[in-house]
Amino acid sequence: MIAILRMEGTNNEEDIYNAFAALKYPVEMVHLKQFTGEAKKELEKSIFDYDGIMIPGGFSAGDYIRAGAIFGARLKKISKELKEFVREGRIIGGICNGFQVLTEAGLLPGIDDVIVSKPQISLGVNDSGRFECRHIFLKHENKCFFTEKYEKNEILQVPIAHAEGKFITSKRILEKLKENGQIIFRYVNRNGEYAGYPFNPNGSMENIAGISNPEGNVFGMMPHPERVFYPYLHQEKKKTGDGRRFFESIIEYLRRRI
Amino acid sequence: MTKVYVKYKDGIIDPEAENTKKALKMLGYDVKNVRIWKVYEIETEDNIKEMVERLLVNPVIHEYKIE
Repeated sequence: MIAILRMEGTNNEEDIYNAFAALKYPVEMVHLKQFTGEAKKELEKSIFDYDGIMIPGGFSAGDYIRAGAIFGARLKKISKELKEFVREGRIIGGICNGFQVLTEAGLLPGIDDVIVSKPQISLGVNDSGRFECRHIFLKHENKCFFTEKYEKNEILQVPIAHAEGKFITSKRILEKLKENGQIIFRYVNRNGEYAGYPFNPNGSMENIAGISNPEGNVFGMMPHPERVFYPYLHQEKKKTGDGRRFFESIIEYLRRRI
Repeated sequence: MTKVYVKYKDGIIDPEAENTKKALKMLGYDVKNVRIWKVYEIETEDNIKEMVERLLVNPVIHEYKIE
């Protein structure tokens, strides 16, 4: 069972829910408070009731302070449980605002520890100073459990919709990410070459669009695979939606794990 | 009331400040640099430093001072 984790201001949970439901994998929506012991007793849930947690996009807590900061700080109340959850090989995924939540919560990059107390990555304001909302190209550079069904170096077309997506980290973390093969997606142009704006829509370091932890079971990306689940959601004619295999990869991994 | 000042570290581009600079220049002013600070006024007996580091700043891009 997958939990789609929502709180005030998340708004992409329906699309992710529908993707799993279309692939006939059990999925349900859970409010953050149900995990943190702040809900009514009869609504309380344990993260260990689920094989995976997906954090959807949106504007959690109105993007106040920084995008994802408040959700991340609140999520950290259950750091101990999350650590155990990740160590057991269950999955945590974040898309767009969900990626910002995972970096702010210290669950990514997962290099020094499963969860670190201070963020080591920032997804900062786009260089353009604007909300960028359009299709972009991604190169799938390394596989993780969220992307096993894509070919290595395959070029995908996936939409983005964010104002804060500029990937920034320290030299040390960047080197480690490369060394461990944790850079899963990079922004490229139509020919698969690294390029500047508008192909790199936000000014991300080394065109980074999505990363995983070293083990590959915690993953975050700025673009929205759930918005290209079906081929008719693409700008160009395609046989299947480029986002479909993202969800198929997760399901295959979880089925294999059980 | 304690004031917490948060700004981007030197070397980190602040697109909002860059755009403000551009706009001021377009209005005909000679502007060399713009820096934007965020100021929080917090009334509390609790540990402000801990609050700041737990939620208000991301150390990858920010620095802060408490007054």
